[in-house]
Amino acid sequence: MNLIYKIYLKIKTNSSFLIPVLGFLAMVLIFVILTGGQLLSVNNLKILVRQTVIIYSLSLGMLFIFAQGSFDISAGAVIALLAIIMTIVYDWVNVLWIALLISIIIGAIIYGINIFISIKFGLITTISSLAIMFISRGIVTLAIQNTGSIISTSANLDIFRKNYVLLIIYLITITIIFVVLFNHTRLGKEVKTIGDNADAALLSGVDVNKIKIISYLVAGAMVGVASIFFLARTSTVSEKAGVGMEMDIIISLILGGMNLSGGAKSNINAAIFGSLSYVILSNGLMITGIEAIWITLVKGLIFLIIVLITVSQRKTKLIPK
Amino acid sequence: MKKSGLIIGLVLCVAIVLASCSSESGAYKIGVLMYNYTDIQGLEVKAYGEYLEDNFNVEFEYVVVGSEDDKHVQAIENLIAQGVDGIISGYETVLKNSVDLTSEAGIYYSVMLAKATQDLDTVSTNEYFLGGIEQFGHDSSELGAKYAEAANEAGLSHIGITSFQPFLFLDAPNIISGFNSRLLELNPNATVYDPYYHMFDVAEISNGVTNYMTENSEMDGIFALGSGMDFIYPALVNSGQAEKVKLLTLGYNASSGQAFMNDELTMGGTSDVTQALAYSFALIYDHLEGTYYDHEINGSISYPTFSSKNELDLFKKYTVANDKSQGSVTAEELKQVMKSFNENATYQDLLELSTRTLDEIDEARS
Repeated sequence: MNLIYKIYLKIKTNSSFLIPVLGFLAMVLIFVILTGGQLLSVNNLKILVRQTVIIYSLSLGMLFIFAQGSFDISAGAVIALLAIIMTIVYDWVNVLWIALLISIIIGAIIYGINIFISIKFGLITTISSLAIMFISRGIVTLAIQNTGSIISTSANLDIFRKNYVLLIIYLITITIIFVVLFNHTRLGKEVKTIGDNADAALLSGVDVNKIKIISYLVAGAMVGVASIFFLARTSTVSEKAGVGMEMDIIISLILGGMNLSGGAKSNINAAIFGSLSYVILSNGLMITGIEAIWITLVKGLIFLIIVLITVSQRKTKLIPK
Repeated sequence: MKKSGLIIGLVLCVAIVLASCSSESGAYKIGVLMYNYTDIQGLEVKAYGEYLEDNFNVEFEYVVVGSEDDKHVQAIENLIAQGVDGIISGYETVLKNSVDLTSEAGIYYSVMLAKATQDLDTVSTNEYFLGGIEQFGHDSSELGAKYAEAANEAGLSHIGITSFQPFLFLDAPNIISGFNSRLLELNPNATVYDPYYHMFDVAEISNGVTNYMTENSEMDGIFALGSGMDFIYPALVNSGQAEKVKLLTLGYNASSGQAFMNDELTMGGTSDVTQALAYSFALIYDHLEGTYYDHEINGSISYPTFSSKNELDLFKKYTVANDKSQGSVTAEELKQVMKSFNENATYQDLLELSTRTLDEIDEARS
C-alpha cells in the first residue's frame, strides 16, 4: 500500500513529464489489444515510422515557438512552398543535397521574416504567421496555376521514404539534439522563461528578441527538413499540399500535454509523445476497422479525454497568450 | 469528482463505439477513398457499394480523405495496414507514390472519378495499377456542345461561364471550347462571356458571380462547370437572379429536380458514379480472382444529363436510383461482363456497360 502511494506521489510530482508518456503507452496498449497485435506488426511499424517523420520534425521545431508563448499557423503552407522551391532548385542545379539545403535555409529565412514582422511591427505572432500562411499559399497556387496542373519532382527522394534505417537514425538523432537543446542549453531555458513572462525575462537580462529569432530559425529549419520528407512521400505538390498540417502540429502538442501558453512547464515530451500518439491514434483507429463516419467522432472523444486529464493536472489554462 | 466522472463517461463512449463498429469477414476487402460520403457522389458510391456487398464476396472500407497530398498517402498506408486487397481512390492525388505503395504491398489500385494523367510512363506498366476513368468521354468538347444545344434550344443567347480553375479541372478548357464553338455555330449572334474561374470558397464565389452578372447585365444564362448546383445556384437564388439567368450545370444535388421544375435550371447532369464504381470494382475483383482481361489505362463512363422532364425522370430512375437493383448497373449485368463470372466476357463488354446512356439503359431494361 505504501509502495502504491509512493508511486502515486511520484506520478503526481512529475505529472507534466509522465502523463504524455503514460497516455502514449495506454494508447499503444489499447490499440494492440483492439487490433490483435497488428499495430506492432513489422509492416505496420514501418508505416508508423514513415508517418511519424514529418509531424515529429514539425512538432520538435514548433515546441520552441509554443514554449515561448508564440503561435504559428503557417507550417502547412510553408511546407508546400518549400517543396516547390526544392523541386525548382533540383531541376535547375541537378544536385540533390543543394536542393535540400536550400529548402532548409529558406524555411529558416521564412520563419525569420515571420518573427521579424511580429517584433518590428508589434504584431502578435498569430497574425504574422497568418500573413506568412496566406503569402505562401498564394505563391503555391500561382506556381501550380502556371504549370497548369500539379508540380512533380524529378528528384529521386526514395531514400527519405523507403530507407527505414535512415528514418529511424534520423528520428533518434533529432530526438537527442532537441532534448539537449530544449532541456540543457541556455536557449531552451530562456525560451521557457520568455513563455512564463517576457517582461520579467527581459528585466533579468534575457535578450528576448534574439531568443525569439533563434527559436523561429530553428522551427523554420525543421519545417524545411519536414518538407524534404513531405516531397519524398508525395513526389508531387498540389494546391492543397500541406493544408491542415498546422492543426496536426497543434493537436499533437496538446495530445502530448503541451500548455500552449508556454513557459516553464513546457516539456519536450509533449512534442515527442504527442506526435507519436497522434500518428498511432489515426493508424490504430483505421486498423480496428471503424467506419469512416465514426473516426472523427472517436478521435474527438479521445482528444477530449486526454486534454481533460492533462488540464486536471495543472492550474493554468491550455490556450495560448 | 465531476471531471473524473466526465472522463470515465467519455472513455465508456469510446469503448462502446470501438466495440460496436469493428467487423471481420472472409470477403475481399476493398478500401474506398472519397472526400466525403455526404454529397451526391459520396452518397451514390456508398449506396452502390452496399448493393455490391449484398451481391458479391466483397466488403468495402470507406475512408474520408482530404485532398491534402500527405493525408492521401497516410490513408493508403493505413488501409494497407488494415489488410485490404484493393483500393479505389476517387481521385488522382499523388498517383505515382500511391501506386508505388500499393504495388509494394501487392494491392490493386484504381482511380474512379478521374483520368490517370500523372507519370503515366511509370504507373501504366505497373501490374497493380488498374487505371483511371474518363468522366467526360474521349472528347470532352462533345459534352460542351451538348450543353450549347440545350442553351440554344432554351433561347439563351448571352451566356456566362463559370468553372473551377483549369488547373483544378483539367477538362474545363476543352468543354468550354466545345460549348463556345457549337453555340456560335447554332447562333452566330450569341455572346459567350469570358469565363469566371473560382476555387471552393462559397462566399467568394457568391460575390464573384454577382459581380460577373452585374458587369454583363445582358446575361440570360450561365453554364456552370464547377459543381454548378452547389456553388452557383445558391448565388443566383440569393441575388434574386435565378428567374432571369437560367442555369446549365455540370453537377447535381437534391435541389436540382425542383430547380428544373421551376424553370431555373435548363440542363443538369453528373458523372454516373455507379458506372464508375462498377468499372473499377469489376477490374479489381477479377484480378483478385486471378481471371481477367487486358484493360486500357483509362476506362470510360457516361455523363448523363437532363434537359426535359422525361430525361429528368430517367436520370432519377437510373443515375441516382434509390434502389440500386434498378440503377444504371445491376449486379447481374455486371457479372455478365466480369471474367470471374463469365469466361467469355471481354473488356469491351465492360466498357459498353459502363458507358451506357440513359436511353440505352432504359432500352435494355424494357
